[in-house]
Amino acid sequence: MWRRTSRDRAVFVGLVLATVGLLTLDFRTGVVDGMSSGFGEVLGVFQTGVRTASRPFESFVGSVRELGALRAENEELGRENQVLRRQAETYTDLARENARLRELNTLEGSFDLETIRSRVIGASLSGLERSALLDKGRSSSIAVDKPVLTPEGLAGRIVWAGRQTSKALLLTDSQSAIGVKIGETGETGVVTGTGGRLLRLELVSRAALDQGAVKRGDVVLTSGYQGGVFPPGIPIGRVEEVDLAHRGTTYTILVRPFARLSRLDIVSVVVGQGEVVEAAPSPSPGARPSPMPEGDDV
Amino acid sequence: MRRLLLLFVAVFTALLVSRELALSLPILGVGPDPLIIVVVVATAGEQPRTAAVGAFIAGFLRDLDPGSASPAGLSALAYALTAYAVALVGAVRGVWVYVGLVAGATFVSQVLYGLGAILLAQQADVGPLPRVVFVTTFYNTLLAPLLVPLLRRVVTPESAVTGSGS
Repeated sequence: MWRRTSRDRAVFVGLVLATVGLLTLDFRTGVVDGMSSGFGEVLGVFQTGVRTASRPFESFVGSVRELGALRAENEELGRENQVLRRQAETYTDLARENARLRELNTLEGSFDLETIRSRVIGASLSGLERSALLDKGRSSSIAVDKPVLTPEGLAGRIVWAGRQTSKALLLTDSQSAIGVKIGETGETGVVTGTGGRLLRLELVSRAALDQGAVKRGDVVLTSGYQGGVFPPGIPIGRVEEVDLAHRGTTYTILVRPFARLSRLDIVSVVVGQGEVVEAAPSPSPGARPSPMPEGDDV
Repeated sequence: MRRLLLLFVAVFTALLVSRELALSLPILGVGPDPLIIVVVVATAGEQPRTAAVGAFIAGFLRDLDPGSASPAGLSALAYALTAYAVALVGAVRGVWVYVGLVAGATFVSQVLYGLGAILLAQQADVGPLPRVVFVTTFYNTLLAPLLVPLLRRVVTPESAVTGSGS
């Protein structure tokens, strides 16, 4: 039977002190960041291999998830032999990727943006954070605070950039906050992550809400504030719920992001930007945001 | 020396698997924590202080991963405390006992980690914590029967194999 000894207590105290020391180093110096960067690079190299190996499996799981919509196609595929089925799965995967790249081209074409394509190779280890690990880093001109786009709209921003890999904080993370405007009215506010699937919108002017400046279905776009981190007019999402307290000043506005953040595959990281030449296309009919006239995002 | 090397490989692989499953097969947006399964198998039957130090190092490697949201030392301390408690249980026999131990250890480590993140203001919103704790525990409990037999072959301490306990 084991008994607690003074050596155990010493180890305990040592570990707590080590934790305090590490936390201090992490918050006050760049020592831990350097170590993290090196370790992240090594993990990133192996992760790319793991990602490649797991793609067929992921494709299979994705097909199972979309079973209802794919039932008719599956019946047809069922008549084919094993080899042809495998080829069809590979083709479907490539076709999906091709379609996503075309959609990304369309979005980027709407703005004068210099972008780098990157593949998502991992997600946050902690369920408390909403982030994605990308297979490109500083060597591809990716740097901290660069916006990350999907074909549907904004996905987040880079919060860590290693040499070959980087990490993007997604819109839904509770630490994420982005200056926005409402497409129809130009009303401004801040969209923050909730840790769940939806975003929370806080308006600069509460009075505007009383005047009906925000309603369900409104498109939310980046305002272009925050020192130019996000180009103006990038689609973020659509207002899903507007809940006004009957009396008092509280309200809740929830926004559903356009980007499919739970199934990210290929993204674009904005590494340079110019003037907005036209508004981005929306992901679904009727979701097209209005073109923003110059100065509207002030 | 050979066991140390195998432990490092197991920890490294667990981090890769963790990243991959969180991306490709999350449950309610949450991935598993295979590293705590490695810690449980490696520390059950180990000396508690040795278990705590080993788990601290494994947790520190997790903290170093840029995919982790935690400040350095937070996972390390959560894992060390959990491993200490696991080691107190002593040598374990039977996969299903390990599965129960994995479920308990996952729950405890996630709660400790989550509370630490909130205290350090890394996590502003307490709301997602219960979901993350329960889903990670559930996910790890599903993975445990698959991983434990494999891990027992490579990282179980000698004392647990011989049944001498600690």
